Order: sequence, then structure tokens, then C-alpha cells
Amino acid sequence: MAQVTAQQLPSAAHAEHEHSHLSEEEQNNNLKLGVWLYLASEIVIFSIMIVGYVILRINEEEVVAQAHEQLGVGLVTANTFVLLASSYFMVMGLRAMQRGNRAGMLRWIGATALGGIVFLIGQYIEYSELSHLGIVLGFDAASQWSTLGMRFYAPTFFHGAHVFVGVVWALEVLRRGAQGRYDNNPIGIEMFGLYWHFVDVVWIMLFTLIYLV
Amino acid sequence: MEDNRRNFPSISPAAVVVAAVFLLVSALGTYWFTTFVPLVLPAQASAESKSVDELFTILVIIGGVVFFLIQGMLLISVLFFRARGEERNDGPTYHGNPLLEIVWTIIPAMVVVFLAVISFNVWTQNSEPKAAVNHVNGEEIAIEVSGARYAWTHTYATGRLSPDGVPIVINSGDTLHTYIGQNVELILQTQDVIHSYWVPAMRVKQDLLPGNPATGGRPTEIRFTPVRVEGELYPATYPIVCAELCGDGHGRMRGTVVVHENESQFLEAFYEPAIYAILNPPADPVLRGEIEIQRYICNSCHTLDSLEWSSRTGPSLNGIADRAGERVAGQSAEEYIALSIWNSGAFRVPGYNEQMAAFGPDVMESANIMSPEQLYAIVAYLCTQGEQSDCDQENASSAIPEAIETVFGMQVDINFGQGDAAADSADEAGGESE
Amino acid sequence: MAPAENHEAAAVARPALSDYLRWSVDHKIIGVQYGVAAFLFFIVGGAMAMLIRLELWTPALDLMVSGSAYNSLFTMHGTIMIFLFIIPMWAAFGNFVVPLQLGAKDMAFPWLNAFAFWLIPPAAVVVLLGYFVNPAEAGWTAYPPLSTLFSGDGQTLWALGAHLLGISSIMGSINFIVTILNMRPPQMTLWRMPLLCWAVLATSIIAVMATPFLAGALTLLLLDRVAGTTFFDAAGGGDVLLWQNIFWFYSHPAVYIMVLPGMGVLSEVLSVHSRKPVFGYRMVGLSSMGIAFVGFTVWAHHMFTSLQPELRIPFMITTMIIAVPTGIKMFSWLGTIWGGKIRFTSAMLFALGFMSMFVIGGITGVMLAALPFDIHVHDTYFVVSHFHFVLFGGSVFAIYAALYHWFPKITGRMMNERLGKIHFLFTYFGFLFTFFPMHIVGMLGMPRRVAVYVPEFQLWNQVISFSAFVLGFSTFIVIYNVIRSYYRGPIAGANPWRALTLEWATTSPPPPTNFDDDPIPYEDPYGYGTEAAAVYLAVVERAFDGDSSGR
Repeated sequence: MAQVTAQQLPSAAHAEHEHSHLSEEEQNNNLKLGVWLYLASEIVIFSIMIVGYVILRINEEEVVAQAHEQLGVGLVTANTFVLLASSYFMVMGLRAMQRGNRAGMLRWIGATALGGIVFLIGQYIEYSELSHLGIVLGFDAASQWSTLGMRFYAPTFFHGAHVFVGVVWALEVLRRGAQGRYDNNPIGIEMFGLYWHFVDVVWIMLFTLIYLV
Repeated sequence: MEDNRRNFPSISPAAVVVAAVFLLVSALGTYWFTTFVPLVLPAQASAESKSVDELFTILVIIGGVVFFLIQGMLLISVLFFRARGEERNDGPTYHGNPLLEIVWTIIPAMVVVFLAVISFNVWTQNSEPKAAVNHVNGEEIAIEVSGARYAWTHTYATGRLSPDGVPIVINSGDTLHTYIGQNVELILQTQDVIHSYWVPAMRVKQDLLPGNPATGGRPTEIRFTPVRVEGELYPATYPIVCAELCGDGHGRMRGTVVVHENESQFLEAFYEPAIYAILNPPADPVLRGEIEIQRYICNSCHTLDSLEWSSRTGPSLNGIADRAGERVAGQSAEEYIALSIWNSGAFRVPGYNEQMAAFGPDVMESANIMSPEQLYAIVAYLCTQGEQSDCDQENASSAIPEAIETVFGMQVDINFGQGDAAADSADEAGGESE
Repeated sequence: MAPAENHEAAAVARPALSDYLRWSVDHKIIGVQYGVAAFLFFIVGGAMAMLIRLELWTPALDLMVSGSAYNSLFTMHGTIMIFLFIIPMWAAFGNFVVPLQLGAKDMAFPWLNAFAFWLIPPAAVVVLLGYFVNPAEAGWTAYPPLSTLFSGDGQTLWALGAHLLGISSIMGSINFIVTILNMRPPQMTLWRMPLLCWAVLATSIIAVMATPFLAGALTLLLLDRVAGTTFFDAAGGGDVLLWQNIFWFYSHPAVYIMVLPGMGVLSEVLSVHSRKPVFGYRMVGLSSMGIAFVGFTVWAHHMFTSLQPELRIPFMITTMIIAVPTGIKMFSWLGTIWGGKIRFTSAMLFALGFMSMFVIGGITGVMLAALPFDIHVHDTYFVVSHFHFVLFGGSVFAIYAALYHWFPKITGRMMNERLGKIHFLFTYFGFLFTFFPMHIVGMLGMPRRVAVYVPEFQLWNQVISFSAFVLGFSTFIVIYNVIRSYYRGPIAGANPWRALTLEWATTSPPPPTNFDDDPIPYEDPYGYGTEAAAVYLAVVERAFDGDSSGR
């Protein structure tokens, strides 16, 4: 029973607090679980905004139909493919790093970041087209679009902000990758990958709900 | 260790005695609790209050048993299971008892199911729409309650018409009149934020929810049936309280329910005189204005000593006539007063942040509908509030209609003493009020 | 620094006070930072409560300049007590104790841990700044349209600050979940975990699932306030009840965020100080999870007077059901102390006080679940009383119990027991006579959140206010006790309570890495009364305190 041993005697000195006491694998597991939990909480916020749109979709079918007619889905479909492709680049980047190909990883992650940037530009173009049509964020009683503006912009802008954060994150991954920090442990790329795929999946949901249905 | 397990729970003979005393105390204590029920609740003035209070009594009995059970067990533990002196012993290593754990899961579960069932019954019984509501003179009338910061307004759509064909709506301000046995059903609508209409004596409460005025708002309903309270003198009065935080004056947003003894008393003391007063307003606009201004919720925000109003949410109306002419260059005192009532957003007195509700012939809220005649009278009355009124006293009979014409963009027939004229039926230039 | 009274045992080096003012990634430092910051906010929020009670001494509006001033006062009182006191206070004890109890050397993400804490001061500044510029006056529940169309910039700052605090809470909770699931040494299986860890796990799961709802709601509220959207404005196609639904979907579970860790503390303190295993350990652990789960299904009972009538029934039923797992805990605690050898330490007194007061909050909770009765007392002082019995009689009593229990571990010194008992008596009776009469004024017809009331309630309110001042005074006793004991308290030794959980199997205060190696937990965290436990305790004593400790 006497399981406490002398090993547990305290070290008197306040040693510098480095976290060497966790193995790399343990740290990786922690990080992955942490990112999953973080993404779970993100789902909730997106859900609230998506439900906000769905309410409009149900109540104001004509407004939505009208918007669909005027908008077309060309630009946004292209944008969706860019984002999907960037997710693929992401996978390739991670795989390259796992095979020890740092240069390949940098190319693929660079392509991922580029995809994100193109997506944001596309979104900007779309927003300016919409504002020309008179679809604005604030409520305007005189507008034919009812509350389409706020219910559309809130989830898509919130998603766009996530893409922006993802691009910044990708650039940081590139910086660290170039320094060789992922050569032995690509967990940083993997976490970014989880995030990026999440952003992608959310977009597919938004795209389906807002543009297709 | 094994011995300890077997002996658990180790209860001394003294504890057995204590347990018996404890059971007795619990029973008596719970009974004692129930005797407080009538003391901590207002009078039972509605049919609903009786069933709610019965439910509450059951809750007190069950709660009392739980209370005495747990506090008693705590007390017994504290008295009997204390470590004495410098005792260093541990208690028995007793990890639990699945049977006991199942028991104290199942029994509370059964109790809450029982409570849910009886609560459900009381609820369906109380919230069921009644067959004949708001019976007055053998007819059902509509009673609406408007909540605005910070006052209630009750309006009765009598279903009668004035000689000019205008529907007669009684506006009884913050007072709801009803009588014993009347199935009251009120339509509640707020003009601004969420309010909650609570009549403690009736045990009813319902929030007023802001809706889209363009689609008829978001009316909610509240129902109760007053009953006779032993020993009460009729007409009896009970408070109406706003229960949902609505801003600065939330605490004083109150009203009164007047319960008359029977329908004839209700008609005699309230309903018929109110209709008579609408049909026969005083010919003197100032006198009429003094009556009209009290129909609206002005007192909930303004101070006016002559009517004993003392609210400070909005600017004081004391001496308004002395200031009104100087507020806006080129605007007469009459115009200023009329305009600030009808188009309340037009002016904001420095230091006051809240926008006043609008009153006029075309506003959404029935409680705020104000005919040009009523506005005329109110302006005439407010023109008397001051030492040296800015109002054009000599030509009051023409100045005020002119001001109202500016405000409403319509000519007004001021025709006091002859019944309420419809707002837009008048073509002649007004002024013959004397 | 004053010399220690007890010179026999050499005190273990503890962090300098200045270490607590700096960025640190040590969970023990962060725990204390959380605790001290939260307690400061408790004092601020408490002072506001005193002002509220002072205003209510008379039926008229006399202390405050306006009803609005009163409204913003209780808005801040609620906001501070919930977001800046109770929730961070549990992060304090969770941070300090949980890794130690698990046998971990730190939290899973030390940097994130520090970051989550350091978000709190700026968030608090934002919230408090709002109090000084056109303050929020819509209550901590911030119902639109009062909080959108009818309030000033303080409301925007309030929402921003609450947003930051929510983010901090999510980060802290992710850290707890990962720590508890991943950082246990091999021998610390889930079913060997102390119940505080179970409670913190359940709490953190709730926080990660529920807090984003608050974040979403606040985002929409901010958009409505600053960007002209109309999510909550009916005139623009919005819905005021949308806010109430989302807000309570967070805020009801938030009640369990505030009280579940307290229940975990209770299990620890009751077992240790009555020298008896927790009765039905697994059921207590599982009931935390049960409460966490059912807690997500009851939110609309806060909307019984605004919800469509036919939707009210299901929420009445779920609300009643949640009484069952709560009852399991209560009976298990009774079973724990029953037949034990109770030591009347200050920690134990507060734990017993928790049981005695929380049961009243539980009973009134079931009463409030009964829809027809709730309709009468909804938004009255009855409700104010109910949630103070849960959050003060529950959470705050548990916080005090935790303070007296773990202070020796945190500082290496014992608190003064005599002062602790005086503190308990003032708190217990001050609390009881403050909040019990509120039930009665509520039922008689006094709504909550009013600065003026009818004169017939004045006597009741004076009783309440007087008791509240006594309760307020009791805080000074504990502040004095903490400061005095920090400098002059007797040296605690590693395990002053002779407890079996792992946080006591290291020095007080523990070294920066907590344990030198993976510690091996005793086979049963609450297995008091066995020979083996006695041997284990003797070994711990010898290992850390030598023979000089004769406690």
C-alpha cells in the first residue's frame, strides 16, 4: 500500500518551468483534442447564424427566390471550388511533411493560403455586387430585400473572417515550416488542417443552404 | 473493517429516540408550514388563485417533508457523529448501498412526476379559454391593455357608436374595472419594451411582447375570473404590477384592478358614467383638457403639480405655457405643445434621453389615439399652466385650431359639447368653441 | 514579512507575492491569480449589493438619482458576480487543485491557461468602463429591446466585455477537459478520479457547449446595436424571444457551471472532514453528468410568462426532472457524513452550511418548476431568493469551504479556525435572514428589479437590508483571516487534513512541477477507515513532514 516513495520528495528549487515532462505524443494528443473541442464550440456559433438564415428562408421564400434569380451562382461556385481545392492542397501539404518533404509542404501550404486569399477576394466582389443591388447589412424598411442582408451577411462574413484567420495561420505555418520546425513533428500543420477543413465544411453547408436550396 | 461494514448504519439507542422525535417534529413542522400559506400570499381574488394556492400548499407539504428530512438528518449527524476531543479515528469504510441509491433516485422521480401531473392539471384548467368573456350588458366586449414606459392603459371597445358614428372606446387609464364572476380576458400589447402584466391577487402574469406594428403587433392574452373574497368591502381594489424590467420607472409602473360586486354595480359606477362622459364632454376646452390629459399616460413621465403628478422621466409640465413659445424660433406656444404631443420625436428637451410615445388620430396603439378635439382641449389646458402664458390667450379659439391644422395638416371642426366629431369629417374652419 | 509562529517545521519555499502579478504559466500561480482577482470582484459586486440594500431601506427612491441608476447598479452586480466572481473563482480552484488531484504536472496547455486568465482584467475594464459611460441598465439578462433600442453605449461595452469573458471561459474549459482526459498518470483511472475532477469535467463540457451560445447571442446583440441589423427588433423582422431562447440556452446551463464545481468541493470536504468514503461515489460522479445533460433541456422555464402557453409544459417537466440528480447528490452527502467522525473545521462548517441552504434553493426550484405557481412568482423576489440560495447558499458557501480546505495547500499555512467559525456564523445567519424573507415579499407581490415599492413591504425590506449588512460585514472577517494566516498562520505541512487525494501527497505549497515523478494515487480517493489508508497517510506524513509533525 505504501505507494508514496522517496521519488515524490519535493525539489526545493523553483526550477525553470519547461514542459519537458510531457512526451511529444502526449502533447500532440492534447493539441488535437483541444482543437476538436474548440471546433465544437465554433459549430454552435455558426449554427445560431445558420438558423437565423433558415428562419428567413422559410418565412420569406419570395425574397430568397428573387435574390437567387438576380445573383446567379457562377462566382460563388467558382469560389467554392477554390476553397475545396485549398482543402486538398492542405492534405497534400501535410502528407508531404509527413514524408519529410519540407519544400513540397511549403508549396502545398502556400497554395492553400493562396486559395484562401482568392476566396476572400471572390467574397469581396460578391459583397460589392450585392450592395449594388441594395442588399445591405442594416435593416431598411423601404428595401425589397427585407432582412435578407443581415441574415446573409452575418454567417458569410463570420465565415469569411474564419477564412482570413486561416490565411494568417497558413502564413505562420509557412514561416515556421521554413525554419524546419515541423520536420520532426508536423502537429502544427495537422491542427491547422483540422481548422481549415472545418472552415471548408462550414462553407459547404452555407453554400448549400444559401445558394442551392 | 469488516465489522464496521456490518454495523453500518451504527445507530445508538439515543438516535432511535431522536429519530422518533424527528418524525414527529417533521410532521408537525410541515403542518405548521402550511398554516403560513394564506399569510404569505395576497387575497384569493380569482378562481385561478384558489387552484394555484392549493398547488402551492401541496408544494409546501412536499417541500416541508424534504426540508425536515434533510435538515433533521444534518442535525442528527452533527450531534451524533462528531469526533470527540482529539479522536483521530476514521469513520466506517462504507462505500454505498445500491438499494438505498435506487430508492433515493426512484422516490424523488415519482414525486416530481406526481407534481408535474397536478401542475399540468391546474395549468390546463386555468389557461383554458372561457366561453363567455368580458360580459357587459349581455355582450362580449374587447378589453385591451397597452403597456408603455411606464404606465398601463386599459381600453374598453364598448361596441356602441356616438351620434356621429364614431365607436365609443372607454379609456380608463391605469385602472381595470371588472366585477365578481366576469370572465376577464385581456389583450395585451406593448408600445415599446417588454413589460409583464401581473395581478398578484389573481395569480396571473403575462409578458407583453414587442411585435411588428405593421402586422398588428404581437398581442398576448391573460385570463382570470374575479371571485368574492370573504370580508372584503366592494368595490375592492388590487394592485397591477409590472414584473419585467422596463427601464427607469419600472418600479412605479403600477395600476389598479377594481372589482365591483356585480355587473349592475359595475355598470352604474364605472361603465355608463364613462360612456356618458365621452358623449357629453365639458364645453369649456380647458375643463375638458383637464379630463382628457388624465386619460393618457402623461403622468407616468411628467411632473405637473396641479394634477399631483411627480414623475421625472420626462421634463416637467409645470409652467410649460411660459416656456413653450421660446423653445423654437418662429413657432407659437400652441404649435410647440401640439407638435410635441403628436410628433414626439420632433423635440428633445436637453437632459432627457427617452423618446416620448406619440399621440394622435392615426397612431397604432389604441391607447394613444387622440382626436384633434382632444388634442385641442389638452393644448388649451396646458396653456393655462404658467404665470404669463405664451399662448395667444385672446385668440385662443383660433390660435389652437391653427396650430392643430399645422400639426395634422387638416382643418378641424372644434365642436365641443356636441359629441366627439370624427377627425377628418370636418371642413369648416374651427373656432366656435364658446 | 512577519516571522512564522511555528518555527519547528521549516516552511517550504513559496512563490513571492510579485510572482502573482506577472505572467506565469504555472497552474498554481494562475489559480491564485484567478482566485484573488475573483475575490476582488466579489468585494466590488458585494459593495454594489450593499448599495442596493441601502436604497431598498425605504420604499421611495432616495439614495439613487434615478431608477436608471438603480437599474445599472443591479445590472453590474449580477454581471460581476456571475462572470467575474463565481465563474473565475471556480477556474481558480479548478486550476490549483485539479492537476494536483490528477497527479499531473500542469494543465494541458499552460500558455492558453495564462492567456485565459489575462483576458479577464481587460474584459473587466471594458465592463466596468461601461458602468461609467451611460451604463447598461437592462439587467444581466439584457433583454432586447430594452438592451438594444433603449440603452446607451454602456450596453455595447457590457456586451463586448461579456464576450471576452465568454471566450476566456471557453479556453479555460477546453484546457480542463483535455487535462482531465489526457493528463492523468496511468494509475489514475476515470473511476479513481476525485469527485472535484468529475465535477470540473462536467462543468467544462457544459461551458464548451453552452458558452458559444452566449457568444452567438452577444454577436447578434452587438450587430443590432452598432450595425443597424434587426435580429431582435420585431419592427425589422426580428424576434425578441430569439434572444431569450439563445441567452437562456447558455445561462441556464451556466447555473450549473457555477454550482457543479461547488458540489465537487462538497464531496471532497465532507468525505475528508467526516473521515468516511463518499457514499455512492459513482452515482455522485454520474449525477454531475446527468445534471450537465438535463441542464440543456430546461432553459425555457425562464420564459414561462413569455413563451407560447402550449410550449411551457415540456419545460416544466424537464425542470422537475433535474431535481432527481440533484437529490442524488444531496442524499449521497448525507450518507457520507452519516456515521462518520465529523471534525468541525471551518471548511466542514461551510460544507454543512451549503447542504442546509442549498436544499432550500432546491425545494424552491421545484416550486418554481410548477408552472401555475411560477406564473405568480415569476420575476419577483421569490426568484431572487431562489437563485441566491443556489448561488450564494450553494456556490459561495462551497467557495468558502474550498478556501478553508485548500488554503493550507496553496500557502503552506493553516487558516485561523476560530475566526473561520465566527465567519461561518455571521455568513450563515446573515445569509439566511437576508434571503429567506425575500420569498415572502415576492409571494406577497413585490417584483424584482425595482427601486421603489409599496410601503407595506418596508418592514420586510429593512429586515433583509439589515441582515445583508451583517452578511457584508462577514466578508471582512475572512479577508482579515486570509491576510493574517498568509503571514502568521501555523505551518500546514503536506497533509494537514490527512486526506487521501493526490494534492496532499506533495509539499504545501507544491513545488513548481507538483511531483517529481508520476505520483501513484491511493487505490481509492475516499477510502478512509482502512488499515491500508492509515499506512498510506503515515507514509505521506513521513515523506514530506518528517517526524516533527505531530498533528
